Amino acid sequence: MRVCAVIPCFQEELRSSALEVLTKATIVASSSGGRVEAWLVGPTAEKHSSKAAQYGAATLRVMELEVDSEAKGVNVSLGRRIVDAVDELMTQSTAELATEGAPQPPSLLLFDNTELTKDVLGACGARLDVPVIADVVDLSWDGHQCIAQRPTYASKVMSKVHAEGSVILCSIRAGLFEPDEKPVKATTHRYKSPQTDLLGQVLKELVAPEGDTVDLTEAPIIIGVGRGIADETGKDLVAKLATLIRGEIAISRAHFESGMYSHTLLVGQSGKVVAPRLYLALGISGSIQHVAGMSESHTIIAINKDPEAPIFDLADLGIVGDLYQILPALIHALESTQA
Amino acid sequence: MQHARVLNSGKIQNEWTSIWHIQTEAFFLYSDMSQDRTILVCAKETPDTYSDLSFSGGSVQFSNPRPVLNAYDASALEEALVLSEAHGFRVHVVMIGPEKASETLRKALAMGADEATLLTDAPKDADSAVIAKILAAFVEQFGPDAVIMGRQSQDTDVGLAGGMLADHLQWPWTTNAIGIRFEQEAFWVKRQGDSAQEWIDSPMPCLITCSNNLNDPRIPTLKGIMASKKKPMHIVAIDSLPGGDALSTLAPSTTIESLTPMPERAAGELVEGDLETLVEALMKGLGSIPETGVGS
Ligand SMILES: Cc1cc2nc3c(=O)[nH]c(=O)nc-3n(C[C@H](O)[C@H](O)[C@H](O)COP(=O)(O)OP(=O)(O)OC[C@H]3O[C@@H](n4cnc5c(N)ncnc54)[C@H](O)[C@@H]3O)c2cc1C
Repeated sequence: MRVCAVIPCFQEELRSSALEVLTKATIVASSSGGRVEAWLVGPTAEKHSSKAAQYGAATLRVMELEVDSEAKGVNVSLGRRIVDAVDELMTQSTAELATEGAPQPPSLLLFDNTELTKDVLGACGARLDVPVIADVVDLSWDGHQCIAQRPTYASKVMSKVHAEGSVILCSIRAGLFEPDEKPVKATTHRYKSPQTDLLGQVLKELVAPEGDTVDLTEAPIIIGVGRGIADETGKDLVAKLATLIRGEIAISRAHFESGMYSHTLLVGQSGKVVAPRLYLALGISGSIQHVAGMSESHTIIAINKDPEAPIFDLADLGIVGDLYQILPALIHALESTQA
Repeated sequence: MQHARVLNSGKIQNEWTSIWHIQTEAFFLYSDMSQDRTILVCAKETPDTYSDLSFSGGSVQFSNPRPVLNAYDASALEEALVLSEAHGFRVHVVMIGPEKASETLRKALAMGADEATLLTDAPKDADSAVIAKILAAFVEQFGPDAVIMGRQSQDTDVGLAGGMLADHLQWPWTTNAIGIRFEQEAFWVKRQGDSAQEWIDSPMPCLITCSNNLNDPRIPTLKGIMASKKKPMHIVAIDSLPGGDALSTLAPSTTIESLTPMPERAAGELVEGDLETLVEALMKGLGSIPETGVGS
């Protein structure tokens, strides 16, 4: 039995979501008696393999993938490259394990839940013709049956999903637990990447507007900016505050319409799902679609002038008042402590 | 070749049950499809998940009993309609659902789609994998130039069907579109990635899944609603699709064992008062989180 953390490697740094997946893989493996493998695919696969061993993977399967020339250093790839890679690794590793005299081992493949994974997970499942469970917050596996918990109905309901088969794919929601170092001695297997037919598809251009270099799912402090921040004055206040408390800025959908911020920063059902140490919600009402993306945050502090705003139902600390008065005073207080 | 039943909605209420039982031996004919290029929009009906939710006996109820067109599919349809206005595509909407889903499908026609197909008699508890296989059979038969659909459904939030369908078809795909253009006989899709936006260019046929953040779907006008009643809606049993016998008995590979209310976060302290009180409470709150660097 093996639990395989599938890790796309397109960046210089290994993403913390990848380490979380490895940690989850070691937990599932130790309770099911399986071995942990890391499948590292991408241009920086070789580079990150030692880190995977540090986080518990005893078998490292490394496949250097071609990168689209536009997409150096970012978590971007045309999806087919990754689907072909996973397919190839499955075929090759199964064949190897069979020649080692073992019957084909049951395999649980764990992915993170980035946009890159979301782009390929369904296609991987169809290609391998195996069950897939997406966006899981917890799971158990006994080599045949997988029982997973996943939030549904805009994260208002927990759904317990059952799948069985010799191969099962799951993606794991990010930010839910601490990556845990567990160094092991690992053996490395290297694979040649398959020739991917991109079917005429071309990655033309990466558009990375201001602010787009941050990866919200990795940020410990997030400042969520809602409609209550309505103009450049407000935006400047938020920027100052962000520097002072080492926060990254996220937005509600209200700022899709305002055009004040980059769309990459959207948090919620149709944006990113985050679980930072602190989510500071500024002028966000707390619509269920927004809350779906941040309700797992460790601490939530909300500032809103409406004492009835639904965001206060989930905030650990709620501050009732006008942002345009509170933020300048708060910034002043922060500056005087840091001076 | 027999024609599938084309429904006019006037009949729907009156002859609800009796008119559905048409067997299609071969497939059905579409009106003058050969001239035009077609975008197929795959859509789903869902409960109104944004109305109030309650539990009874392990199942979920919503205060609005009327199903809705999945918001992400509505965005997909809106985008298809915009492309159609600019480039003359025909827009066909396909939905897998029970017969009464024709009411929701009719809304898609009222928004402006040209034609629709309702695929009925899906296997029980169909999951994304089953849905994708059924849609693949339909798409292969129908032969659209592009498939556009929502990136996920607003009830389950699973988001797998698009990628699965693309792999079955062996078509290029792009997910999470926040902008679509049609230029030089190709679809240029801007997708929202993890830390950047990507422009990806795909030749036809291709598949695109849409974020709901790429447009605001139009509300049907009265004129649109009137026109929709004359537009063709084909009702097709899944077992009459190519390979239909196998499709209609597909077993889901994932099943939902239970639904339970999400543990709710307890509301914390609510602070009201003068500015000084508020700032003091905030400083204390921020100071309790080491990563802010406040208070260290
Ligand atoms: C299918 C679907 C998916 C969606 N996905 C998302 C998603 O992923 N993310 C998302 O965010 N939204 C999403 N939405 C939209 C969502 O329903 C809300 O419309 C949106 O989240 C509202 O943003 P908001 O809270 O900033 O604005 P509002 O709801 O308008 O709230 C603004 C708040 O600011 C407060 N305020 C105003 N001025 C001040 C001031 N001076 N000082 C203090 N407080 C002030 C007000 O009291 C109010 O509570 C989605 C909607 C749909 C239909």
